[in-house]
Amino acid sequence: MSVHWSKWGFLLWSSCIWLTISPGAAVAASSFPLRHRVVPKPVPRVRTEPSIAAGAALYVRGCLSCHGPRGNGEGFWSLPTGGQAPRLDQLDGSAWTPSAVSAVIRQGGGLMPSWGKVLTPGQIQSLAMYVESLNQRVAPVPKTETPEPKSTRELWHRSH
Amino acid sequence: MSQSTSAVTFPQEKLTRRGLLGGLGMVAGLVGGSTVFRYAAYAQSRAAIEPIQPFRFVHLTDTQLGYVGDANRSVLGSLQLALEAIGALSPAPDFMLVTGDLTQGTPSDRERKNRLVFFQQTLEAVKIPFYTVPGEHDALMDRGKVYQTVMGDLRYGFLHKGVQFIGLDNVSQGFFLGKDQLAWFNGQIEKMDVTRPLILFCHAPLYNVFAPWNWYTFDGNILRAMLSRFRRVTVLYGHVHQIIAHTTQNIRHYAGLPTAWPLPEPGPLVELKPWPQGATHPYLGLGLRVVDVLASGDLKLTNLLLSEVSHVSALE
Ligand code: HEC
Repeated sequence: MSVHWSKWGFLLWSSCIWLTISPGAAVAASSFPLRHRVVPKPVPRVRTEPSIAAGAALYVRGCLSCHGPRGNGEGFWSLPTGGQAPRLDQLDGSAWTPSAVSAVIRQGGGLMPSWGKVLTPGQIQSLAMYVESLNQRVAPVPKTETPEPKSTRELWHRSH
Repeated sequence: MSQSTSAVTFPQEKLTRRGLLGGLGMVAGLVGGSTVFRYAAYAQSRAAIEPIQPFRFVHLTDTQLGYVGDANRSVLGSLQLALEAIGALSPAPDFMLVTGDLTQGTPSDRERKNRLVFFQQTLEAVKIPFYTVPGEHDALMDRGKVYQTVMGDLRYGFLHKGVQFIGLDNVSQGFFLGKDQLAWFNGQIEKMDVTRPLILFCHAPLYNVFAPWNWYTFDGNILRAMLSRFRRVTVLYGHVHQIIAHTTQNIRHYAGLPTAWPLPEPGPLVELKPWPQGATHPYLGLGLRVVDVLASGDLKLTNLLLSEVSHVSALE
């Protein structure tokens, strides 16, 4: 391949690009070095309400390692002092009120991290809601009618 | 071990000054009108910098003093073997960086203090200055209180022969840097020259190696974004007890060999556990790293295996 050709071709090509994008690029180029010019993507400002779903996602990133899947106490990382972090799916509801759960996530203590140093109050609320959902002792039964069993004859008809 | 040499180098060819100038021609087309201005600014900033004087330092990590168990039946013995190898290096290193888990975790503040003091005395015996950052074993239990009384600050920076160093704490509150530290860090790098090599050292990786084993920093992405303007950033870390090399955008990340015990490769979703130390290969997977800073600012990394430290003279 001709080196000269590719070099000039590239310059020609890039000048065209330059003419097209120059107004925006001038602003972006001024604050970035040559090699690592990252043009930040616009991030839409969405205010998200705390939710169990958001809590579940945060849990996988931050809590699963120590407290295990769905808070079953079978973390993949044992504590520096040996042993495991406690399970979170059988909390005593009278001691672990929603505000107590939020408080322990925020402040931590001992080998439980102080998540308030890194998470927003909304994120902590989401996590507390998720932890609470793990402790829903009486699962709400969906209201559906159990269908009557079909007669064998009818099934025979259907399958032919 | 079938590999006979323990010298593994990762020249930082991507981030050299020559590479940067070479890249200039290519970028010229894209940056167009501002090229001349940018080139002048670059030349000016280079002139303002005192040249880097070549030097050597050592990266030690995860020494876990105080551990008693099968993963390493003498953590002190393997640390001392490493220190002997360091003492024999020629040219001698200017200092040692120790990236956390200096001691094995304990619930007792008193015992933690004893272990940290013992670590300090063991390293002081080598008569080479050293800088440390905490690991979760040293600092999570009491949020770094005892660590600070014995070892000093949890985070700090220093300048050595033209190279910037910043030690970070991503363990004492949990596996994250936290809003306060990020604000502090931002203040530190604001005053810094983006063309000068910057070496960060911390315990846990600053990118997500494997979160289920806590091999990550929850808010590491924020710190990495703050560094997007910097051209030569290297992170030296520990915690994962094995060599891992990785690049994120403009940053190179290198995990160091532990002196305590090796750990398995990340990936399987199983509980993280070390193996019992082998009787025939007691030092398998243990070692340290020698870093040579060249006049160009490039780093030459050499990993020394404890099982092969007799090869140290080959490093001269
Ligand atoms: C580094 C390991 C670790 C991580 C990561 C961690 N925890 Fe914990 N957590 C613990 C330990 C250990 C305790 C017990 C503390 C104690 O006994 O003082 C605990 C306690 C708790 C408790 C109180 C329950 C009890 O019985 O004491 C809650 C709730 C909790 N954690 C939620 C979370 C949430 C939510 C996250 C993620 C944002 C999380 N934890 C991340 C280690 C961890």
